[in-house]
Amino acid sequence: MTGIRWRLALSLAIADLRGGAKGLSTFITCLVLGIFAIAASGSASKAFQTGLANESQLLFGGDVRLTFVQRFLPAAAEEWLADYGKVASLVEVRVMGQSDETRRLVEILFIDDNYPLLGDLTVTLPDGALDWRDALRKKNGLWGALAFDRVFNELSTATGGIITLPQESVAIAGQLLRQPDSLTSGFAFAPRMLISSNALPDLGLTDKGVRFQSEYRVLLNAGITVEKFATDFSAAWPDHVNRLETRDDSVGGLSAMIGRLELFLGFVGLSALIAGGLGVSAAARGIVESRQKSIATLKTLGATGAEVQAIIAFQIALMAVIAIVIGLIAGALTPLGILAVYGDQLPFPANAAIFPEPLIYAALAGFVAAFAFAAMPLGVGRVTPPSALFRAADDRTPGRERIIGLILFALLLAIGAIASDVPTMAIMLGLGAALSFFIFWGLGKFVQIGARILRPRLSGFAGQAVAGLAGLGSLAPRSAPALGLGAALLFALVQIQSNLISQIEDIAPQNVPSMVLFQVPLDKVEAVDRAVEAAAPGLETEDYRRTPMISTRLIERNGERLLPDDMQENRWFLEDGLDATYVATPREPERLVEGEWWAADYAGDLLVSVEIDVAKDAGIKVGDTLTFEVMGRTLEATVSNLRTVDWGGFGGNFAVVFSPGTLEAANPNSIVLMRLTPEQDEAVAAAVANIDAGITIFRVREALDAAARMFGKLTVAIRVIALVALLSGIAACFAALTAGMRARIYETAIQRTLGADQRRLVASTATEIALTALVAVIAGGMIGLFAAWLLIVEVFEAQWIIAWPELFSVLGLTGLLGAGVGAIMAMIAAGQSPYRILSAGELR
Amino acid sequence: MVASKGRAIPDQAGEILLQARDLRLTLSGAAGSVDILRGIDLAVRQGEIVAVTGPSGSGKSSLLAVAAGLEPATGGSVELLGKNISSLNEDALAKLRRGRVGVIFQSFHLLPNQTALENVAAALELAGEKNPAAARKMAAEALTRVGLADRHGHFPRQLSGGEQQRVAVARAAVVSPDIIFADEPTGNLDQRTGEAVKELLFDTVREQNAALMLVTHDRNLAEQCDRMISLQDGRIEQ
Repeated sequence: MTGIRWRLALSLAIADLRGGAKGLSTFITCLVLGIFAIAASGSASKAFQTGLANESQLLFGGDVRLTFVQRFLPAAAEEWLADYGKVASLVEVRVMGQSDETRRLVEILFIDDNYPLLGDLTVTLPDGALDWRDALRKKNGLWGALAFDRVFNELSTATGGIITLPQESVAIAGQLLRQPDSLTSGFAFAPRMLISSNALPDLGLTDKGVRFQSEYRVLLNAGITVEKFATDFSAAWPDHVNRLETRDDSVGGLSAMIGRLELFLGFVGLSALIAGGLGVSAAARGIVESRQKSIATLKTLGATGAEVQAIIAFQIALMAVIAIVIGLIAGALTPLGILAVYGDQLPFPANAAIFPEPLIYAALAGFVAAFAFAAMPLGVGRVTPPSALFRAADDRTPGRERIIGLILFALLLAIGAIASDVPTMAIMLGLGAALSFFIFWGLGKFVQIGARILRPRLSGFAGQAVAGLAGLGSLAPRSAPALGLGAALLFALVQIQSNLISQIEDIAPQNVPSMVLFQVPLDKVEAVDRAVEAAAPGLETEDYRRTPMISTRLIERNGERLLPDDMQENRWFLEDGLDATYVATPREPERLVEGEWWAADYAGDLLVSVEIDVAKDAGIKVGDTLTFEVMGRTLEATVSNLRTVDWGGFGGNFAVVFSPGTLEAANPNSIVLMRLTPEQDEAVAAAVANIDAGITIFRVREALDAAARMFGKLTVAIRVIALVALLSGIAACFAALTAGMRARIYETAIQRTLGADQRRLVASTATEIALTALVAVIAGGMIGLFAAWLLIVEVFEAQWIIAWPELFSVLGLTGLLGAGVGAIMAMIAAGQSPYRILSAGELR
Repeated sequence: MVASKGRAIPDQAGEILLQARDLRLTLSGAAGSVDILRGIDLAVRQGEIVAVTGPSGSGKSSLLAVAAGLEPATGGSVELLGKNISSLNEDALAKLRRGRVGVIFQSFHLLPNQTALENVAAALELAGEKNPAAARKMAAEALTRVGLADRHGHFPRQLSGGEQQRVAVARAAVVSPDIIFADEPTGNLDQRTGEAVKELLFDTVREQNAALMLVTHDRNLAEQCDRMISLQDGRIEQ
């Protein structure tokens, strides 16, 4: 572009910008929405990431955790730990708690005097209480407990109330508002209470039969690394190497969850920018079209094509800068806003700050997007001949700008890919959008050709509408891409959100029981069967499963020690608390892969069936001898067979199943899994409670509801950002329609001078737009569903369901929107003075 | 050649600024081709005011557009200011027009977002005036000459039709062009205003010893020109 007088171009560009702002405001609005979505989603992701990183030690409650099931570390090992750092020991149990007539499963965390190693508990204590440690002491014969409000709600009690546990009672001494480490302590399936570990002997909850987990947390001394600790511990206490977690592992898991959230936010941001880009393209085309006569006049006065292009490019750059400033300010403030509104409800910490990195990326992407999408209209401006002053000019985009547009679009995708954690998603999204664009354009052409065929057969306003679609200025090919992509985005976002929420609300309850009874004593199993039959008569066999359950640990294979570190993928198989059962007749014999099942009346030496994947991981073959530790004793069993397990299916799924005749001697408890209706839940819980106080009743439905509620809070924040993407889509549709409407306004003016009444004009224009919208929305819906399916199944690796109510809502909404926008635009067009429109030199 | 009433052809014929030979223009569309100009031979000299007349659809405006390099011819040749423009591309044509060719339209075609002063200054700047202050000063003087001294800051939509056309005349004349092409410059104006614009245009052309090619269907106006060319169906009427 040599020979361009840049200063002159700039001054003409600025002078021209002072005029009408219809096209300009649409351009800025679309770009602002796209940049805002990218900046906001990037900033929100960064806020979560850095929030997590900054507080990882606090969240984890130390540097290292050692966890054991049904056992404690020997005192000597505890002393050894103390040499490496400050140690806090905890014990976790789940038992039934009762307050007056209400019985519920409660989760109790017994804490020692060193807990918490970092941070402090946030509590509300009654007047007169000294501090929370004092509140936990034994007073008037009762140990004190701090309880979360779920305990108050589910057990209908309050501070000062008494909760009866299986052997003793405790008094609620205060309300627990926040544990510094609650985030990494796993999801609380039952309402949680904190009690001093000094109370353990009195409460007897780690006695035989009650499943408990002991945990040792270490805040390492300065100079000792996590790696050194792990190596030294393994060497010193080889028999006690079980689950050793570091804060990076644990926070890493949370990070993965946030990563998924970021992925979704990134999808939203990029989609918004692409949808906004379509609006930018339509607005830029509108700007060029509305200035066609000005451009031709400038050329008449001696401006070259490149100079005209420079004038428009300056205007676009200036508008882009304005849009970037607005978008960045709004985007940077979004995490602060989310924290101000939802700060207390977010399930993980977020860092309230302004993050330059996502803002720079958003600014860069916004600027490139502005020119990528405006490149083709700029080309039209460049080649607009002076003869456009008296004859319709060819408005086809020249090849050079098509290529420049494609190069800039590729650059935009590259920026998206570099900034994204999942570059392929960014690239696929961009390519998908580009492909969809051509599909929609083709559909628009198809509608136009169809209308041409239909035109001679129709009269009245339908005929006028079809004539509009068939004509040279047809809205169909120019509006369909923006409308269709906007609709695709809308469908995809709604489906992805619905799917993520449904994972918890709908899919899970199909495969998991609604209620589980733990610790059912062997001599009470028949009483439980009868009680359930009475409370929920006619319960099908597939909805009721009862099986003995033993907590065990696999320690040797053919006399050779096995350690969790030996496993490639299934560490849990060699850790404490491996659940096992025994059966005479297998429930699903067809799952056998290798070896044989024992006979139903088998009574010989102990045999064992092992799940095939973990067996391979541990190098176990049919015929091997495995040594298990069961309740402090060791047992040897010969591997009889290997089989597959449907881990997602209903029922007790065990990696290890023993032959009958040996483990009965340990008098094991049973587990009962049931799929009940909500009404049956209550009746069964009440009936079972009277059989044995030690039976713990876990209401899965309530836990899932709580999880769904937590996820719901999170989705509120996501929805806010997703809404921006939707607004981008809608703005793009508006921009496309507005650009197309310029010609239609002129036609409407002519029709009015010919005597057409306003009603007829509104009806025909609205019908024309609604027909275009209908075709684009249906096709967009299909593409959006496909994109959502791809993301859910391939990226999130989750189960796919179609949210039909949402699907039809979106379909109806977009259809109404199309017709509504059509009607409004038609009214605007028909409401203008035909004289003014026809006599105006330029349409503004 | 027809001399206008009361005005003789300049005593000494100036150099030829515009020379068209066997000029043809055919426009193609969906409905087929239409021959607009069918072999026009024409020459316009410096200082000459030439009227092009003819009924609607005879090709007058097209002849002006092709002669001014606004529309490419499909046959024959046009030599404008000594250059054969048939072989020039859009940008080369634009550069040729800068400062040497003025164009005035029936619909004025002022830049809608620029004031009267800026519209005139834009022509100067595009013609090569690098000092914006000087351009504005010259533009102000040009506007004063056309009687719009008090309208410098007005946008086109704030001006009457006659005022807009006077701005267009000032814009065309301010660069002291060698030749001005005017397409129905009074066509959208009432008789009195039209007469004033005509006087202004003629005076400007005379002052600058420029050539003027004026398209009009107003016989009275045409007769006031140095000579008149009448078109019929894309040909010069003999």
